[in-house]
Amino acid sequence: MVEDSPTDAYVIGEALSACPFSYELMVLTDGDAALTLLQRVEDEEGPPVPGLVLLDLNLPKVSGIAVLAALRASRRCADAPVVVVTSSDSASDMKAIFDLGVTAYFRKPHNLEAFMTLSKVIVEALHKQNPD
Amino acid sequence: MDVSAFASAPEGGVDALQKRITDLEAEVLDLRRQLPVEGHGSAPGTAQAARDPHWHMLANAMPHIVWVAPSFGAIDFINDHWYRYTGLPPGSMSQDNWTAALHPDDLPAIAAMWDRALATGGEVTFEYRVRRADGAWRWHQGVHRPVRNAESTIENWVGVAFDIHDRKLAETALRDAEERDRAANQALQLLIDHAPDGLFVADASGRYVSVNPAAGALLGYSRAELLEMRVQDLVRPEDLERQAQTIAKLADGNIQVSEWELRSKSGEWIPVEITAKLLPDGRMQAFVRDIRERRRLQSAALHLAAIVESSDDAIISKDLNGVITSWNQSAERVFGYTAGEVTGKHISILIPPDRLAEEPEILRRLQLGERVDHFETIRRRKDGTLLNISLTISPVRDSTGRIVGASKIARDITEWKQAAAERTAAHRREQEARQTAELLNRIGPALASELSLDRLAQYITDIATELVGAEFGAFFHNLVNENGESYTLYTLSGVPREAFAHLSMPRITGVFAPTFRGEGIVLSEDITQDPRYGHNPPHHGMPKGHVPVRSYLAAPVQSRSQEVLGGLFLGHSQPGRFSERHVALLSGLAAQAAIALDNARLFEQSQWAQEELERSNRDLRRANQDLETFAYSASHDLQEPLRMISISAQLLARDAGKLSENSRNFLNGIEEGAGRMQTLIEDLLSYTRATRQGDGPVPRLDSGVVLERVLQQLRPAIEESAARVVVDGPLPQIAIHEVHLTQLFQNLISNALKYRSAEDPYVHISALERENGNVFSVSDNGLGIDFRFADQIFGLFKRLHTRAEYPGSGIGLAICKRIVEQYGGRIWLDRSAPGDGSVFSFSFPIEPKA
Repeated sequence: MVEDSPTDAYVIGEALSACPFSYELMVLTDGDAALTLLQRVEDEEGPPVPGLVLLDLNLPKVSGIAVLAALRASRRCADAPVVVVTSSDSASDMKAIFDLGVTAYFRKPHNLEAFMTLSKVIVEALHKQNPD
Repeated sequence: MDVSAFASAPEGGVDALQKRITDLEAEVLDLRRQLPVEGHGSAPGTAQAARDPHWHMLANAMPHIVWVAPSFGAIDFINDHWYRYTGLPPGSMSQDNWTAALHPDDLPAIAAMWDRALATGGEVTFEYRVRRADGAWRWHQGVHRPVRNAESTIENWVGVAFDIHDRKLAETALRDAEERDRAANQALQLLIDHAPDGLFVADASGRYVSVNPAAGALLGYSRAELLEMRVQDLVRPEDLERQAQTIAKLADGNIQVSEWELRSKSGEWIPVEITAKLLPDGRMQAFVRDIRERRRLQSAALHLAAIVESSDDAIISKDLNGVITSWNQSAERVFGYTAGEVTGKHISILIPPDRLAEEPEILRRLQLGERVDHFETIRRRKDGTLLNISLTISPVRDSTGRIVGASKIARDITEWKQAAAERTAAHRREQEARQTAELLNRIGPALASELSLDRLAQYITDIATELVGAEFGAFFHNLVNENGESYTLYTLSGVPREAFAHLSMPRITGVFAPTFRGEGIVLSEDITQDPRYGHNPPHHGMPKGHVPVRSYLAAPVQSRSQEVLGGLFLGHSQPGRFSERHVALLSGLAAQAAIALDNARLFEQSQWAQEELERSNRDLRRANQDLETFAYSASHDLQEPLRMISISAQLLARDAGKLSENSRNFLNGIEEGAGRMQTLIEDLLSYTRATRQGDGPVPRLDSGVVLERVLQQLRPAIEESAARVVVDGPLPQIAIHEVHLTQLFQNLISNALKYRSAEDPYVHISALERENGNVFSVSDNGLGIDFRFADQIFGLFKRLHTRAEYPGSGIGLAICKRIVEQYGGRIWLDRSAPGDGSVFSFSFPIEPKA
């Protein structure tokens, strides 16, 4: 999860914890950190290829779009599922992420219940598609 | 006329002659009584008596020729008187020589007389000539009478012959005299009958006894009528006394000539001149002449004289020697001489010495009977001043047609000449002005079409220099830049710019002041001699290196508002090169130039304004874009922290049980505030989106269909409010984006439902097609609005109620206004009052169908 907002990270984390499968969650709070991790994955320095990337767009230092572009351009992570979770409804952002090959996208609701439910449903659905 | 005068008449005249004839006739009669009478017996004249010696003795004593003859030529007795008278020898008479003393020419007549006497047997009388002893043939009257016997048979013829020569002469003379007298009388009568003058003869009592036809014709009476009248009947009553006096004076034997007025039969008073005299028999004779024509001529002459005297023209007459014979008042006025001073003087006193030759020529032409018409010359007044004179000279003829002098009409045309000269000058000026105007009219449009100030200034300078024939031309013009700062530029003509480059701008002093202050055109024959020239330091005149200007012409160029736009300066190195005409030209050019400069300035300013406008529009568009960008980013940038607050508050609320009562209230406050802020941000976002989308053609929609959809969406609210919603008839097609029309209907109907009345609420939607567009109205019977707020309610986030009463951000009508105005339409509160419902209307202009 690349998310600069601790609240959102908490809400999403709680939603994931309710999922009926095990996972290891790594939370990065800016785009730069995401690119550094990606580089280490590419260099096979230890971190594994992520099973799911939850990506915010509005990130400090390097934008979510740049991170997505880097993922899709990477050797090892090009096919990793990426779910963009953002408050943006900008048409240009939409176009950019779909062009780059986003797996799923949803806007962060103002309602806590809705936020949690949505996060959980999407992650579970993706897990069903790709149990690995 | 003396009709009794005869050149050949015997002394004593006709009367004496008549008397003599009468005497002779008496004598003859007496003699005839003594002749033997016809008849019988022994009475004298019988046959016997003829042979009676006593009778013979008696016959011999007679102083006439007496003879007795039994038959023609057979004279058997002739008395002694025959022999005494004829001088023939006594006793010589015989049957053969009885004709010896008779005129041979008369013999046939004598023979014929005898034949007649013999045939008729009666007495015959005839005349023949007998030669007197002195040889003179003298006329005799012969009477032959037959003497009959008892049986009445003619026995003898007795004849007597009287010397009637004197009588006959007298008779002839008398006949001639009478003939002449008659002819004279006839002539006189003819004269009287045909005389142009009336001839009246009246007796002593004044009764007319004789009048001629002219008298009748003069007065219109017939002769008979006049002869019934008296002299007193024809004159004016007031003239009667004078008439009586005149008649009395006739007694002196003098002819009286006097003027009267006689009344004609028609009642007209006819002026006449009467020449009257008393005839020897006491009758009065009067010749009456009609003097109407004379009076008329006299009157005309008087008029003429008056005209001559009152004429404005000098009227002078002179004889053929040129001597002045008359002189009217105007002549006195024009020439300064009185009539007394010049009459009798020679006309040449009026002629200046260098024109004396004109007079003989004038006289020559006059003598040929020619008129001299409107001969313009110069004459001299008494005081020596010279006059322009127009002379008309006509020959004057006497009654026989002989030219005896001249009348001369002299008109003082000095002023006329001056006026004519002025007219000519005025005409020339007018022509020049017209040429100037034409020239300027050609230049005007050319100037006006030049909108670049720089080029225009140069153009004006070049034209001005050329128009007035200057060597040098300069135009200093005042300009204002975009920032409103004034500055002066100059353009030059006929001199290179370098020639002025080292000189400073002219100062508003001396010579230049009138031009730069707009006081008028300065024209100088030689500016170096102008009193205004050369007073100002440091140069005291033209600075060194200035072009050498003598002739100087400068004009201010002033706008209609009298603002001095600049000054045109023209110069020539020779003095006296510029005239009034150039002033006119330059003045006109300056006016045209001012208009052109104004235009160019306006054009430049309008360009600036246009640029300014475009800049403003760009700025406005940018500002709008900025606003939209801001609103957009606000919707995100504000929404994101807001969402954070909301989520955080909700997370916190899950643990509300751990919080105090107060803390839970605070948490509610956070959640409520966040919710309201979200609504505001979303409204703001929809407001920024209420803009016309794109530049393409706007599709036409069936507004009724759009309204149906809106009502469908609003069904829950409509059902909740239990309002009746009525759509009035078919709604029009209009050109509008569906999303915008939807927003309009949604906002207005929502408001109507929201602010409904408690009882039987309804909403009524209608549309009217007006001349200039479609007008939609949404009416309700709701709360209504105080009309004071009619404008205010369309403002952004304006609310008339507390949020507690009626929820909402107050952006709905602001969005409606923004949408309607995007399409050039209008929205307004049509009618409303608190408690009485509202009518909102909006209109769209009818756009031409694509």
